[in-house]
Formats: sequence, C-alpha cells, structure tokens
Amino acid sequence: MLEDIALGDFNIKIDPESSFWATGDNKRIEAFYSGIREELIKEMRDFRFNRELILLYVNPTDRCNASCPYCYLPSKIKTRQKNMSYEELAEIAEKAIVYFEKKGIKGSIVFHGSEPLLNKENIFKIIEDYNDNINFGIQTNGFLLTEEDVDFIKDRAVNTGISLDSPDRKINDYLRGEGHHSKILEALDWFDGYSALNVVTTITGYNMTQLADMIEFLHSHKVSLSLMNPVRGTQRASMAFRPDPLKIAGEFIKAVDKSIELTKTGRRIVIGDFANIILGIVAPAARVLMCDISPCGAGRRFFAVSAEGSSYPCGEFIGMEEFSGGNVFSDSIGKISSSENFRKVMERTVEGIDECKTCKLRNICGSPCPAELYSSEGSMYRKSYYCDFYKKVVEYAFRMIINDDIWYVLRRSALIEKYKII
Amino acid sequence: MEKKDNKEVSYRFECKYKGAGLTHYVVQSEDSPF
Repeated sequence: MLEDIALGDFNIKIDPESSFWATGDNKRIEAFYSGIREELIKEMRDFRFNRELILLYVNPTDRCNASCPYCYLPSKIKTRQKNMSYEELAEIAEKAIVYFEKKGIKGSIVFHGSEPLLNKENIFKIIEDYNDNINFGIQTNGFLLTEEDVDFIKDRAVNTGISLDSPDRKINDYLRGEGHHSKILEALDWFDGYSALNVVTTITGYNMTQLADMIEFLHSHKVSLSLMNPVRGTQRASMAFRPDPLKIAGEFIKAVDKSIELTKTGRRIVIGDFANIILGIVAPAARVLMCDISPCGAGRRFFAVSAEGSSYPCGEFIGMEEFSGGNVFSDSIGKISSSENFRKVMERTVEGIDECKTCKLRNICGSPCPAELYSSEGSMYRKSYYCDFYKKVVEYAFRMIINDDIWYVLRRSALIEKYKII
Repeated sequence: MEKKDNKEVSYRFECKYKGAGLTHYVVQSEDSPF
C-alpha cells in the first residue's frame, strides 16, 4: 500500500510495487488509488516479467582500434581478433528474422563492440541485404567513419550511436585515443542533425565536471539525443574510473538543467538516461532503456552475441561463461533465450536484495547493473554502487514531474494518458 | 524546510514503444517517448 517518502522539500506517497505515486491529501489519494491499484500492479508485473525478445546486440568483431581504459570487455576477448564472415553474419540475420517474424514483430540487430566498423564491409553488406526485414543499428567509437559511410547510414535509416567523452580534446583523447575528438567533430558535421544519431558519454572522474559543457557542445553540433551513463565497474581497471556517486549526481543535474535551458530556445536536446528515469516514474512500462528496472532487459528483451557466436544476456556479461546461453551458430534463439544461464539474470529482482527490498524507489532504479555487481561484489544480489546517484536524480525528477515540466524531456505525442490528477 | 505536499498531483502514461536500449545504446524511432 501507499508509503510516505520525503524527497527534498516534497512529501510523496508511493506504492513501490505498482510505482503509483502522488502528492496531496492522504485520504483522497488513497481513495483514488484503491480504484486503480490492481490494474497498476498488473501493468508493472507484466512489464517486469515479460520475456519478449526484440533485439540482438551482435559484436561482428572482437577487435578494437581504441583502448579505452574503462572498457567493459575483458582483454581476453579483444585479443582473440575474431572477425565474423559475411556468411556468419547472414546466418544470424536470417535466424533473427525467422524468430521475430514468428513473434509477429520486426526486430532489431545492433552491431556493437568491440569496434564494429573494423568489420565494416561485411556489416554494411548485411544492412544492404536484410534492411527490409529487420532494423539495424550501430554503436561505434567513430574512428573509421567516412563521409560515404555516414551517407550510407542516413540513406538506410540505421540507428547510430557514437562515443564522445568530453568537449575538451585533451581529456577526450586521453580517454578515447589520440585524434578521436577531431574525428568525431568531423563526423557530427557529416551527420548534420541526423535524427537517429545519439552521442554516448561515459561518466568518469575525468569528465564529470564537464557534462553541462558537453550538452552545450553537442547542441551546437545539432545532436538531439545524448546518453550520459556512469562507468560500470565490470572490469577491475574500470572500477578505478568510477566517480563519487553523489558528486556526479550534482554534475548530471547541471547537465539536465543545461539541456532544458537549450531546449527552451527552440531545438531539443535530451539526456536519455534522465528521460528514462522520468519515464520510470510517470510511464514505468514505457522505459526506453532497460537497465534501470529489475529484472533488467538482459536476456529477456535483448541478448548479446560475441564474434565467436557465444551468447550472453547482455554485453556486460561477455566473457563470463557461467552466464553464456549457448552459441548462436549451433543453438536456436529460442533455446538461448530460455537457457538456465540466462534465467539467472532474468530472475534477478530487487526484492531479492537485502539492502533494496524495502527501498521505496526500488522499482525506479532496479539496482543496476547485475553484471557489474557480480564482477565487483561477487553477487548480482547487491545494492548498486550508484545508489546515492539514483536517489538524488530521482528526487530531482520528482520535482520536475510535480511542476509538470516533463515535456522538455519527453515527447507528448508518444505517450497516452492513463490518468491525471493535477 | 516547508513541505510542498498540499498540491494534489499524480499522473501516469503508457506507450506503444517497446524499449530494448541500454544506458549506453538507445534505439530511436517515431514512437519513442524521447
């Protein structure tokens, strides 16, 4: 039932099980909630435990041309140097198309990394040959992008993410590699406001004070969607890059403020990770990013495939063989997605975490990330390293929600109102 | 600090879009809520 939670200067009533929340008179709110409680609990349960696979993250190569010090992939994977052939990629695409068609959906394949453009010829040919039957995406560090590539991506409507860690060349290139900053500047000009482009910034102790400047920089280069995520400590080396959770909360909020200030000038820029937290409160089943919910999306909405064909619930698990669901070349997608090793992750809930099970925000944050926690703490059933970050950002999100300012962050046309009291 | 709990506010939305993004990858489309 409804519990009270004090967030800054707001008192909120919340039912963590259904994610219903409200401010106002106790009796009136409780009377209203009693009429919709069962429906909202069912909605949350259906969303959290639904296992509709809709996307595969495929690493077409183990190779990478950068050496980001916080990379979540183990070096033993990157040094294998395996490249998928065109035939191997086509086999995955055809299996995926058949699987998704049987489910009645047009699914997606996202070429992820290591660095997918090191196998550019094959992945572009796959996109060319199968684009009518499946959606494609690419996540790239951008080093190998050419103007012709960008034209190809735009012509085929390929959803694309590129990485940039700082508006400052020296800091970015320290983290991402010499010459990366100038390469991305060039690429952003070629993309020229392409609507299916986003720029990913991994937040570390090195760039956390530059997040607001980064938003200004991206906005000036016509980028409308930014992702800013605190680095995962999945590898021992990356743990040293994790920033103080409370300090980054303040810097992250400054970046959100900057994005809203710029959006008010007439051209949008949204920080997806913040928008997703807003969604987690006002439209919990409409989350776009599937990390901040438990169970997370790993294995149930998507899974990852390494260049050797091994499957893992998510890219963060690559190299942890105890979570491998089989090999995509020898096992069916259905068999992989229902494997015992995937179920370990798909059954992980915040209610099973001692430090989280009574937290009133437990179904807004979901205590990510299970791979990071398994690697750094020896168990997925631990509180997120970024717990304090989430608490501060959720408090800020509630302030925006109560002031009805969410339309600087969300697109009204995509959302259908279930109920509203204001 | 004065608590701002007198104003009655609560709302919820749903959406046709189905998310499969990560904190470091997002699929954009016409029906995406952001």
